[in-house]
Amino acid sequence: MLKKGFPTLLLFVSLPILLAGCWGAKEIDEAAYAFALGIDSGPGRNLTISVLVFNPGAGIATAGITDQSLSPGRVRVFTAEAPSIFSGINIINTMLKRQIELGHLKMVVFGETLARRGIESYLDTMVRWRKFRRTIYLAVANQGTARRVIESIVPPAGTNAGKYLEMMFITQGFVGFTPRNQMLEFYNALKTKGEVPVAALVAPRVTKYDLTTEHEARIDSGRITDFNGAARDPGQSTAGNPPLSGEAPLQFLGTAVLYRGKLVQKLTGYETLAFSMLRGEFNRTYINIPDPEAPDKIIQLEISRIRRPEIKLQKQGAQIRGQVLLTVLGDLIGVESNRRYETPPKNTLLKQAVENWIKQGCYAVFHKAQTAGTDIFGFGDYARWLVPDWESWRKWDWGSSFKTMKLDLTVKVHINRPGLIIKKNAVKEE
Amino acid sequence: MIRGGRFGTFETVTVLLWPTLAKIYLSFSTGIIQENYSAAWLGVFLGCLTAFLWFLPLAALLKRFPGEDLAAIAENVTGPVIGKILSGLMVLYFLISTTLLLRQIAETVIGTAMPMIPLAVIIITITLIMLLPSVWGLESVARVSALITPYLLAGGIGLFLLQLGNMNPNYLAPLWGPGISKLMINGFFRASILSELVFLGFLAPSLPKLNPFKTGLILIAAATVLLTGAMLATQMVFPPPVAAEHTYPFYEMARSIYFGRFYQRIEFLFILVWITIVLFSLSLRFYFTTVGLARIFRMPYYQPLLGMTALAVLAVALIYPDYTAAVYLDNLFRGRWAWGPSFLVPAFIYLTAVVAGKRGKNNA
Repeated sequence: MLKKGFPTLLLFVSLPILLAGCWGAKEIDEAAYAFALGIDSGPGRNLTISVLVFNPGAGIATAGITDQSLSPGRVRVFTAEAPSIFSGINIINTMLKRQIELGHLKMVVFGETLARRGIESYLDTMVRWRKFRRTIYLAVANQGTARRVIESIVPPAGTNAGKYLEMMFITQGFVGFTPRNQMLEFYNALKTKGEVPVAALVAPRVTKYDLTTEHEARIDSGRITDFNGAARDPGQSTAGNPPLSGEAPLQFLGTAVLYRGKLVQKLTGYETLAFSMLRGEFNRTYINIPDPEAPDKIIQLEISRIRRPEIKLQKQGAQIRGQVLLTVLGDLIGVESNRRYETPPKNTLLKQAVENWIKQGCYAVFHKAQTAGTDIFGFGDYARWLVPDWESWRKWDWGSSFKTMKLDLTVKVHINRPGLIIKKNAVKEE
Repeated sequence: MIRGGRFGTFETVTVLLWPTLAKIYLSFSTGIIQENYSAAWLGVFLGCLTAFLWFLPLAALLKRFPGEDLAAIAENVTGPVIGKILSGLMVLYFLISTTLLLRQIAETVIGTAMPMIPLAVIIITITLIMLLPSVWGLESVARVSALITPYLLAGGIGLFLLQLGNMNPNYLAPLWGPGISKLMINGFFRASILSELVFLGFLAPSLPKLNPFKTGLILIAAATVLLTGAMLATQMVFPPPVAAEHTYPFYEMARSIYFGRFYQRIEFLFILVWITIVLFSLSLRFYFTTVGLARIFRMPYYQPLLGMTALAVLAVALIYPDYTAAVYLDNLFRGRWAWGPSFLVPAFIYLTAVVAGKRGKNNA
């Protein structure tokens, strides 16, 4: 009995020893975890590497110590000039008692100058080296350096920079002004000719527009009579530019288009929204459209995607014709003119207005992309079905076809619920 | 006397299913994508169809010689010398595939989970694990495989489903990939994808009442659906230029799963499923290698061969200069030419048996 049971007993006794513990021979507080990496062009062929590092100290939850707060002092930025990412990290490691660990990296930012020069060569490291994941978010510093972006994260986001960055990107998915920008999509698009890769535009909020000192002072003094200069919808801006105040480390707004890995074009917030709609990646956002019955007033709606766009491509001779059907759900939020839009005829009028607004935005961004020859919508992926085999696809100059492509866009908006008002001004006293 | 034990159709199917599916977890699918581009899934499907056609003579042979294994049948039909050469070819293939798999598993563990561990440590550990099922015997392996099948299926398929949000069906176009004619040729060679069907010929003594055709058919159907489905899923997540680069395509898929802050970094689940399946595949290949050798040399027991065969497998696995070489050879032997020893040899034996009018003792 003992002879039979002994191997089993040995197995169970050895399992806890084998299964538990630290296989990497490194405790959790023996590494400096990088949350964000910034890459700028440096002097000569060098790069400027900036790393946002969480430097765990005695406060980390180990061995019964429960204080998990990460004070600003624990999140630090290190910058080095080096010929490559890892030589930069190496040189930063010479100042640290803990080695930098990239396994928890959330974001990689490229400086605009470097992005314009091209980032493709740096991506090989990110797809080859196991510490990088394809779930990392990619961004381009709008009108600035990645270093400034990384540095601006520290003070306000000091409580947990990793969570902050991840939450920022997840939240942006429901704002609509930032494209899907994980490395998985970026690298897929980079390696195919059916679509052009995009990344988020980011800016540090240190150069923020000071509403208090400029706007309110002018309004209070009665000097402003023409608001046209300030009346631009912030959605028509890119990161770092809209009139905005408040404490936050970063702003994500707009899209960087990186044709063959080089920054060639930028899209504003609304252009990004339209582009995301055509790509089927849009979730939900707030919009305001001109009131169809009182064009100087606006109507606010929340729009969300009902289903993915239906996209069909046809080849008519050398001409490519694309048919896109977008189906969107609209929820009425506010009618500035106080008019009644709950009745069926008015509801139809409102739907048409929203449809037109979406169409205008989509056509505008489509023509902008066509002019630059950048198929950011991935229409080329649909065009693959028009050729029988790989050789035919390789020979097809899709870029040229995209430039002359005709787009027939149909938008169907459903406004099924009027909000908490079923009939505006149903009873009047005057 | 070699005792394989007794088990039913379900156990037989599962015991052969995992060695068949295990190859997709290594670099095998990358090779298929490199030659078939967007039509890699069609290449797999056509390979499975071709394997079904190849399976017909094997099934007919096993039906003609009920209860006998391929080594014994080969000697009955073609005589002791040619018979031994023919079975030797099959066993040599088992041996080579075992060594290639052993090296690849060890390298993959280093490449994905334990980068600091020395190759010798991990490869010896895996060799010891490989030995265990052969010590326990096939019956216990078959029972375990039947028990774990639902969990492995759920784990494997679940991981693919978690990638639904990242799937782009347009990556499956152009439909015909390298062109219809090349696709057909590649599909023919890729019949090797189901080369594990030949193990059925060495299981026959354990399955006296089993219909080899029915068992093989169920296995082919299940493997076709799962292999084609797995390839479809990979191709929809990664376009051909990206998928063709990957060292471990399915590991990359698992690493790319991201459902918000909580459902990410779940490749450890993948590693659990993956390691179970590939170790299963390795153990069974090793078992059939040893049993095949014992049968060729008419040994009453295979157990005395275990130690030496394991040492030989370990030694050969260490001869491969690096992982890239192991992958190249695996793609060559197991990927493209395995249909030779697995299907051509049994088909030749069957044709000879038909021409010579030979039948099994129990099928007089």
